[in-house]
Amino acid sequence: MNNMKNNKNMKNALKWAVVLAVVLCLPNIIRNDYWMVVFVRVLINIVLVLGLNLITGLIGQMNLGSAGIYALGAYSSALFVKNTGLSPWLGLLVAVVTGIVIGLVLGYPSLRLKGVYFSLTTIGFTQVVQIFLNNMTKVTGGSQGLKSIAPFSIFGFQFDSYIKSYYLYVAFVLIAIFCAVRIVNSKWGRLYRSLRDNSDAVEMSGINIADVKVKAFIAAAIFGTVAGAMYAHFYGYISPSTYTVDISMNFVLMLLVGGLGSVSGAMFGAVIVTILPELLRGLGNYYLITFYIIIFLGILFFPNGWVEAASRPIKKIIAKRKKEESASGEK
Amino acid sequence: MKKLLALFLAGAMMLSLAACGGDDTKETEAAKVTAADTKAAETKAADTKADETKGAGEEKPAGNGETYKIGLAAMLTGDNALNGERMQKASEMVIAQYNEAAGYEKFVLNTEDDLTTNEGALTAVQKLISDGCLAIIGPHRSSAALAVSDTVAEQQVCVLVGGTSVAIDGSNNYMFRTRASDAIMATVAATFCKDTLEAKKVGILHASDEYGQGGADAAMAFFDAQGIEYVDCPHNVNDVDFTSAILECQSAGCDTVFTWTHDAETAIIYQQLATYMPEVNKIASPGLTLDNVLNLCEDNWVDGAYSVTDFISTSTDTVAVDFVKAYEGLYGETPDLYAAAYYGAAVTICEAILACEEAGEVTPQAVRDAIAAGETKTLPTGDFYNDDANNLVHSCVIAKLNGKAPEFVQSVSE
Repeated sequence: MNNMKNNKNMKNALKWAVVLAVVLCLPNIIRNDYWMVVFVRVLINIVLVLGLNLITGLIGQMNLGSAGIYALGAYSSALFVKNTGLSPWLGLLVAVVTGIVIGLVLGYPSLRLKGVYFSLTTIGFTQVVQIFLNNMTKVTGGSQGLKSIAPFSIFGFQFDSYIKSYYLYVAFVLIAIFCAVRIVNSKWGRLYRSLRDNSDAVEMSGINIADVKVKAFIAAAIFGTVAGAMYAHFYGYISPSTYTVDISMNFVLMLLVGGLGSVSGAMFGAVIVTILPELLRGLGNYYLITFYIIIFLGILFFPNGWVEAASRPIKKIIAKRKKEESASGEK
Repeated sequence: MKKLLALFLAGAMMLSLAACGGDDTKETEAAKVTAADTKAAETKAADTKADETKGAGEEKPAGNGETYKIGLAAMLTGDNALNGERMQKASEMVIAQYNEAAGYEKFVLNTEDDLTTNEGALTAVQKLISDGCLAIIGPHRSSAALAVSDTVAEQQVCVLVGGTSVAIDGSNNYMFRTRASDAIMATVAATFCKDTLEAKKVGILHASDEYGQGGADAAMAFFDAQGIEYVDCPHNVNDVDFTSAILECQSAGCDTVFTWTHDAETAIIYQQLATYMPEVNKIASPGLTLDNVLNLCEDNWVDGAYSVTDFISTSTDTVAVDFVKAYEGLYGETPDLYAAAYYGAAVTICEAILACEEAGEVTPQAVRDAIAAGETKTLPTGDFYNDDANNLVHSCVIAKLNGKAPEFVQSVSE
């Protein structure tokens, strides 16, 4: 039994090692600044979608406020760095604190709201954030936004090129994946799933639902604000017009494509929804409609996500092989 | 069964899209042929170039037979797709004219969609740079221009943007502005309020984003300097009800309403002004002369209103008249300010590349320097020349709406 478990762990580790090797080699394989920008966007999106997965994927609350969380993360870090002249790493810390506050602000209403009412509240949250950023001109730069935001640096080493930023953000993503996997596979992850399936039963078991939900929102908001800070320090310019409900929808789309509730699904969704339109650019004026048709068909035929759909035949083969092995063992 | 039906329908949709795509290509080809046929209607700028470039297609390819890539980052999808289409059409028209003059495909236009987002603009511009474009037309919006600012400066490829915000301050040597800035246009509008409309108190209805606020700030600075009273009424982008702002202007006794906002908001404001303040003098940002705004309005909402804009198709200037003729001949529609502004941008880049070719060095840096040092050219939106703040355009037009038809009133230079 232990051998089987070790084998499975080995296979998993090998699979992730191959993926990591490919990710680390990408800048040397594709020597192109345009693609580096796209890959960095993928990495930022992965961090945010991993957080969204906790709320929408596991707890089952449709959060359309990701753009607001993303915006506050970007602005809190950028404003801190611009106003104090201190390191962007401290800005990142400020973004984390902002995430905790947002988690509390969004978490408590979620105790009373469900379904479409919760979604509408989160849309409202994004709108409020955008209007706030637009109108607080003296603090946020208003509609003209903030420019010349410093990139990350370590002991004088500036992450000021696409390739340097890419490797730094790969490290961020690895940390985010580690945290997400730990959460999803822990008792918290199981609690979140059970809340989605039957919150009354969870409450009947003597579990403090309010506490669980608020903690989930805090964790998700931290992922979102960290992604926002990554965005601000990579692009060097942020403005309120970036943070619309449209991008919140896009993040949900990433989750749907990859598959709700799974870490690998969230990552895959972020990769597909960010890269596929770029690959389709050759279709000229029709590339976006083609992209959305593909996404639509994907959701129609693979409602549990593309990762689950792709792994289904593999699982079947493995099950069949196991069956054959056990049959031959019996003989 | 349902899934099969969905698959069949999706397949049919894909096939029909593919068919549409084919037509589009044909249309572009047809446009090129038409461009050749309607040479007489080509604009002065292209004609001048044709004379300069050794025989206008009758001799061997001009210069060294090189092909030069020019980028276009346009809003082909998103909120401003129609305007992006005009950018594309005008740029394609210029490329066709210059290729015709050269006698071969000297210029290639690489077009990328910027999705009308900042992120999309950066990706599009980065792709165009990676594809080897010598200079880039667009992105259009001010925030998109600011988003690509560091990238183009770092990679030393210039962009000719349409952003009119005062935040584009000329500090980036690789960013040129191809429309008059908000500061110029809004000041012209404010001056018109004082001198022609004899405004005593002005209601300023403006969007609270970079575009609306930039215009309103310039106007308010002018009114402050002139001692003219005003009521500042900002609104959020995508607002649909402006009655409280209009009633505020009414109760404050405003005799003139100055609007500086986006297309849809402009149409709604004019509808509500027609109800609550029908007799008030009105002057608006460039959007009021655009078809996509006027198509939303009734004649009586906008009749008698003024607008400050980059260009109107009824302009009496000969270069503008020639441009309108050529554009209408090619596409069967009347050009608007987007077409005119980016026509100018495309001509500026082509001229700069030809100048570099003559000098023997065609690099992005050389093209940038040629644009910066280029001679004054008269184009549909006025005289193009570079100033200290990298502004290429220094004039605008005041139009008056007769019903829904914009009529040329006067051209104002900086």
